[in-house]
Amino acid sequence: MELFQGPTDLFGIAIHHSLTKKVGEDEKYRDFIKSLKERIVIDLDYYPVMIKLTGGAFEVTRNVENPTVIVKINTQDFLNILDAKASIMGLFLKGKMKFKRGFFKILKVYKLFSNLVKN
Amino acid sequence: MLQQAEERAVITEKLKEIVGKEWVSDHPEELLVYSYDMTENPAHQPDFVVMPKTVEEISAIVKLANENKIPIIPFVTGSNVGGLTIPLKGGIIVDLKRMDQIIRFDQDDMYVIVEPGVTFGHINKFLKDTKFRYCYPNAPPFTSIMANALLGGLNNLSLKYGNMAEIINGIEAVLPTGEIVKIGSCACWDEHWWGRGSMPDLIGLFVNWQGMTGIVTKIGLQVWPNHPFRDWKFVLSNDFETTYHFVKKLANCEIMNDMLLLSTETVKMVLGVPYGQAVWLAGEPRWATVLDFAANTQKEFGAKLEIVEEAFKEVKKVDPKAVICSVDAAEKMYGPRVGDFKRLPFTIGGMLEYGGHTWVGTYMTSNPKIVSKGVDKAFEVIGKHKFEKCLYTRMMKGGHYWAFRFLLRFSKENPEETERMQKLTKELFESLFELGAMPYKTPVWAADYILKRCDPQYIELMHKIKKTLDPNGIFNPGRWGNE
Repeated sequence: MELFQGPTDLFGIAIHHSLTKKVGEDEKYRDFIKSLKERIVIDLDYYPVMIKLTGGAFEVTRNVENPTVIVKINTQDFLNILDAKASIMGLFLKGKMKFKRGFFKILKVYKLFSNLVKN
Repeated sequence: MLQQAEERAVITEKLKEIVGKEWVSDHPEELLVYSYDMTENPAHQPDFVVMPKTVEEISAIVKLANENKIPIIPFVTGSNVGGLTIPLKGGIIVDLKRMDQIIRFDQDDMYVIVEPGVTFGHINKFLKDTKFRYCYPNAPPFTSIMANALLGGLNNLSLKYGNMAEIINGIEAVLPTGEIVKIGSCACWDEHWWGRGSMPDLIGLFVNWQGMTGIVTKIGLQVWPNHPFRDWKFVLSNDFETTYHFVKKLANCEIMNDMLLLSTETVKMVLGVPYGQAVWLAGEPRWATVLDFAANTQKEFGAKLEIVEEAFKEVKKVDPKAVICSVDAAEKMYGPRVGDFKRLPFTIGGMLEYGGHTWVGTYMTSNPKIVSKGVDKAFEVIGKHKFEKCLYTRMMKGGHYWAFRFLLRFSKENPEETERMQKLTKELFESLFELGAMPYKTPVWAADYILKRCDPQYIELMHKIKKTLDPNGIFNPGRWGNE
């Protein structure tokens, strides 16, 4: 039996794991994910990672072609969110989380990530 | 290997008389289990397996082996990762699992006395509701704490106290001629196992000898108090030398329980990335450092955290992408496998599931230039042989020396891959040995390198001691140049 499925890069694993866990545990979140058809790039300072959301299924990949949303965030700030030392809204308001594409989808992205870190 | 069936039958019967018929086997299918381990070291079958319960039974087995000049090999779980219990010349495997008692827990002098079969899992459970803790390697919970101590293994307090052999207070052992001996303060008073005493220190006669000088039947090992405040931090960084100096700086502050440097490949292995896919990808952080620190008060804890954060600021000046987070954040990202670092002992995820696992573990100078060179050379060699660059490395004993532990997965069912792994471990070891690194839990082939370089007078002394203790050369023969 394979122990591991999904991406094998360090941040891809993290995002894939968090999404899988949240979708598995939270029905509302699962329904929300089903409503999304986006190609969201999280542009970390290490390297960008794309979450492909296709109406319920999701894939996390380092192939970041044709994104509908690009969110730029520093890796340390991303970790600070998980450590409850920073909030998504706070980072956004301080200009530490920037939308390089798809700004009008900000609420969707906010919902995707703010709920994701509430583990 | 005993040739005569009649001779084998006689020995089997005598062993049964000593320990009871249910604790002896000469059945090939049971002997097979003891003929190999998970490493690339070649298998060799024993003639008998015996499972004693008492020191007196062991003494009787040893005397029988001596009378008949049959090799004898002490064994607990065989998970030493050096092929050390593979019976190179056949003989009797003395499986010590049934001797699994924690005989004493002395809270005043802070030690436990345990039998060989006591595992890290046992001691962890035993101490769980006390104010004390033992030290744990990143090894499976089913491994023997005595074996790890006698083989000088590393652990999660190695930064403070060095390798596990350095925490041995005393020993009871059956010598190769059957006598039972005590070493340490316990040699004078059985009720006092507080330390090695003030007599000439003979503990070394059993440390790193790989069962060549007798069978240790009891060991006194130090335990330490728990602290009410404890936390872990993870640092991801990109440059080894910068990471080294960060670790060195904190080590010099003498505030840390433990610091562990992992290559990205090792992190991936821990996370369960399948064999062959745990590779560093361009753009990823190169190193993960696990920081473990504890305190008696919130104030002390805060002060330690402040020192860690100040030291990390220095890292950021050289390595701006370096990041730090709590173990909780890491668990949110990666799940419970990461959090296992605070729940030792545990089996590193993905390490044992692929049939073969070996390592090259070495102790060496902590000189930063030599350590960095060791990393570069080792990664070059591992890359050449197309295996994963899984390195687990740490500063030892406050910075007095350094440890490398390459955790190498391979498919043991694949003969080509096994042969390639044999070449890799040798080449890897050679490249580190040139830099002054000494392998611990030393396999036979690596011991040969040391013996060639060693002071001849040292080797002669070692052989004299061996000959004196084990005149018939029956204890784990074929190791450290002893036939």
